[in-house]
Amino acid sequence: MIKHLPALLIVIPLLVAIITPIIGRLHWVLSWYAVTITTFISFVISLFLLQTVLVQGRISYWMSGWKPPFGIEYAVDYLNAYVLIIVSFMALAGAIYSRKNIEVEIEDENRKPLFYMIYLLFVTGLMGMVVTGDIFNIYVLLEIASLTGYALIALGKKRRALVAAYNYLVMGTVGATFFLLGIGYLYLMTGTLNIADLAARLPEFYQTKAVFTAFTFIVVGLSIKLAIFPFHFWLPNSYAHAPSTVSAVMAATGAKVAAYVLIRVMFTVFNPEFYLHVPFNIQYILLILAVAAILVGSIMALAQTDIKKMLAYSSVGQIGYIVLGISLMSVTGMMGSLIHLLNHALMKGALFFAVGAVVYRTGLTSIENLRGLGKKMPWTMAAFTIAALSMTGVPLTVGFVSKWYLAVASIESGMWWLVPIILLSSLLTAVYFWRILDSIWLKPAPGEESLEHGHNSHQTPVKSNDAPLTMLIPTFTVAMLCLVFGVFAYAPVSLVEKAAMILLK
Amino acid sequence: MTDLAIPLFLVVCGIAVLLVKDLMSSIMIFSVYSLMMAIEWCRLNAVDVAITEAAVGAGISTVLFLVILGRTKYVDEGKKHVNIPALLVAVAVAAVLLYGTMDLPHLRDANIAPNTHVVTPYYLEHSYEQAGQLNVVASILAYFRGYDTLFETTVVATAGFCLVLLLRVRNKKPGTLDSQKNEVTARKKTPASIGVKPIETFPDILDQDKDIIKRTVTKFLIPFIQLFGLYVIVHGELGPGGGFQGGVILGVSIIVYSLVFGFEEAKKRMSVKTKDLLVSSGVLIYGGIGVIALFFGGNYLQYGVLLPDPQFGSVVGIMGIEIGVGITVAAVMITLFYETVRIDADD
Amino acid sequence: MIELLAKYNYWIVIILLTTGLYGVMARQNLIKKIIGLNVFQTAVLLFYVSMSKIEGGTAPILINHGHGPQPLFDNPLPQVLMLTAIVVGISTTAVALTFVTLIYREYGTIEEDQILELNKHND
Repeated sequence: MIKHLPALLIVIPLLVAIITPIIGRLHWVLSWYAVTITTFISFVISLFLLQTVLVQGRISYWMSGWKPPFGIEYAVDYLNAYVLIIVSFMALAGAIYSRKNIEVEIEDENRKPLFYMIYLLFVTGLMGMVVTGDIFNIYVLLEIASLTGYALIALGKKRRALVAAYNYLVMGTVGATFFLLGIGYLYLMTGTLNIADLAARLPEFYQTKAVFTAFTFIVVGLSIKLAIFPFHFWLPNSYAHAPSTVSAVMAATGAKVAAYVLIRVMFTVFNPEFYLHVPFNIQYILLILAVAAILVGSIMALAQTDIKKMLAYSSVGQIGYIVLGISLMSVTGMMGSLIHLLNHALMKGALFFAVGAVVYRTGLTSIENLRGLGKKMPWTMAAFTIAALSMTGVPLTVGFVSKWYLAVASIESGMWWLVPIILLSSLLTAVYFWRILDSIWLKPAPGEESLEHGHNSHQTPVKSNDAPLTMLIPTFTVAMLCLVFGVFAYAPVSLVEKAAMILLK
Repeated sequence: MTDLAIPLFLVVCGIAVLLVKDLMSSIMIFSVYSLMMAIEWCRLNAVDVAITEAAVGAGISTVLFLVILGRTKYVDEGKKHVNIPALLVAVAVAAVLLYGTMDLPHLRDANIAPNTHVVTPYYLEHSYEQAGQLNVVASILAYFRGYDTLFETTVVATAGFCLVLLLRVRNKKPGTLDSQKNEVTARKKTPASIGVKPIETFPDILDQDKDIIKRTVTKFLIPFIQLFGLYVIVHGELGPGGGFQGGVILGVSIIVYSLVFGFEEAKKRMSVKTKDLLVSSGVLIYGGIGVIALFFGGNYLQYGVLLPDPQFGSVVGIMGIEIGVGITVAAVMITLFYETVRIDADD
Repeated sequence: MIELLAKYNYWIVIILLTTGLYGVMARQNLIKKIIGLNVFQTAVLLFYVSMSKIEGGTAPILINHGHGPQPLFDNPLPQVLMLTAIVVGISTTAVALTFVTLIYREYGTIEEDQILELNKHND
């Protein structure tokens, strides 16, 4: 059974997802158990896969027993294994977290088993995109992840969630179809769909206009999914109006997988050599877009009063960081991007989890309403604070690690002017988080104002009304990991270094 | 020059679809467009794809659009002006595409890469001896790239479940969508206050059709439709057809029954609970056969190991998954219809 | 002659793709947008199917039970890929239309500009 692990990683969640609604008929909690256990199994399998890759090198699994390129291949190397662990872990955290969260945000009992099914399919789609070695397979699983994503967003309570989901659907489908079109061009030139085979056969066509067009459409399609500026318009509304579990897991996994596919296409399907033959300077174009994303994201985040929207715009900026590292096309730059995949997943995940806990207790998401929560929800707010500090890039947190590598890579490539931009955006991040932290810890809660003006014996002291355990544990664990991997950065960084070196050889 | 006639007609339809003001006409033209697309593919000898497009694109799509049109009591489109930024973007995309086609290989040439690179010749050569299928498309779909098809089936099932998740709201009044505690005056601003007047045009689709001709003809036709659907599923290995096409046809038989005899009658024949179970079972059968292959020592979905004779094992395995696909697709098509039709009914 | 005939399919694809894309972006009615999306997707389907045709080839179904010489066949692989794409397309359309229905229930309209208007006033 061990050698079938790559297949089981996807097949087990798929089959469990399909029977989840049936299990859930007895009681919806059973579907929660099913999803949590399954995501846990996937997480363990992904750890096994990483261990195997570290020992044996690249794993190749032939679906249906056909040798690639005749059949579909599952190919796991350092990069995949790394991303798989991130995705499966955040999926597990989200599953545990969702138990209480959906009590408030999805009230109809009959919907809950279906929610879990769609959630599990979403995660399966994402993992499937990461582990496969066939480019058309990526498209099919992309559509599964997308479709389930749209439905999950539409479950948000306000009616704006529906509009957000619709807009995301339209933009996302256009992106996916562009991706499909690009695959068509690639197939027409080479006759194959297998990633390794494409990598071998494409170089002789690097000069052709058709291959360049294919590249353009694939990258544009993926950029829409990844919400790179200027295709980011669907993201703020979607993250803001979706149920909190969904926002958290999507922010932590969806964008990462899209970034993974982009990296895979740009550096495995196409060699770094391709960029020398190209009529436009891809590097500069991506660089400009990345900088625009970073600045626009940070500035728009400042202007928001709803905290989820603020976090969403912040994500747009963070995605800019990832693209920045890619555009530098150096080992250090790629390391910066890859490590940021992990770091942003942890940071944003923790932030959205914390906000969801606030929604659970208070039902509101505006920044105004966070006043004084430091006393009522100390643990949740502690997690929020750690994640916020990490976003700013305080040393000893993961945020610092990513920014460090990106800054070093910028200097190495001679683009020292990027360093002030990174610093500027960190400053802006600090500003918009400081407003919130100030509100949480230093301002009195709305009901407490009268206590300051003299002792009133009828007032009871503020009780701690923190988030329930199933929500608190994932939130706090993920936040703590922001510190753990900030201090003990060696493990992820060395893994990421190995991956980057293979990609950019 | 008959080669050009259909493609030109397609272009005309495609542009007309978007220029026409009336939504009903738009949908009808789109239906014609899909059908002509299917015929063009038939002319290009892509028969399996043509059947699927005819059934799905011209058939189910149109039904869905019309049902939703009925439910939204459409408003006629307001002012029409040319959207300049959109036009520029569209033209830019066209320009990039044109640029790309300059050195694309000539289509129809037997020597271009897709036709000469090992992959396709291998499929053509080994389709019968390894997979037992004369229809090469079926052997690729079900065996060589069977894993893709598993997920394709999952996408269909997912769409069905998404519809169930989103549309089945129990004990709730319309307009409250999960009790909007935070939007105190949820309908503060109504369309009427900004000058929109909806038009009520469609009779209720849930009712029976009293016309005796329709009822008799339908009663007579449905068994044949279902038989044909089953035939298409099973015959897919020898000729055009397969699980998807047959599944759609089977699903359509129930939809036709519902349209003519009323929704209540149809629910007695194919109840909601059964349909939900069937959607899951198809995918389970497919995935399950793959898992069974693991126990027989092969890789996932390697049907060849299911029986001592690899060719016969493949035939059995593929037949199994095609049936699975057919069940799921039929159930999902029925779901698409049931859920959208009964959105305001109590159940 | 083969060249000219062969390339016209590309041009048809480009026109349809652009039309569909324009429809998605420019039309305000939500259902029209979905129709535009479908036209856009079918253009890509046409692209792949045109790719599969070979001059003088026939449908890829083996004759004589797979024994003996076979005629020249069209390429079956793009056809398989497009079967998947059609199915994915209808799934997306179904979910999109669901959203339209729900939006109509909540907003009372399916014109994008009116929805934006309503959203602004509720803030």
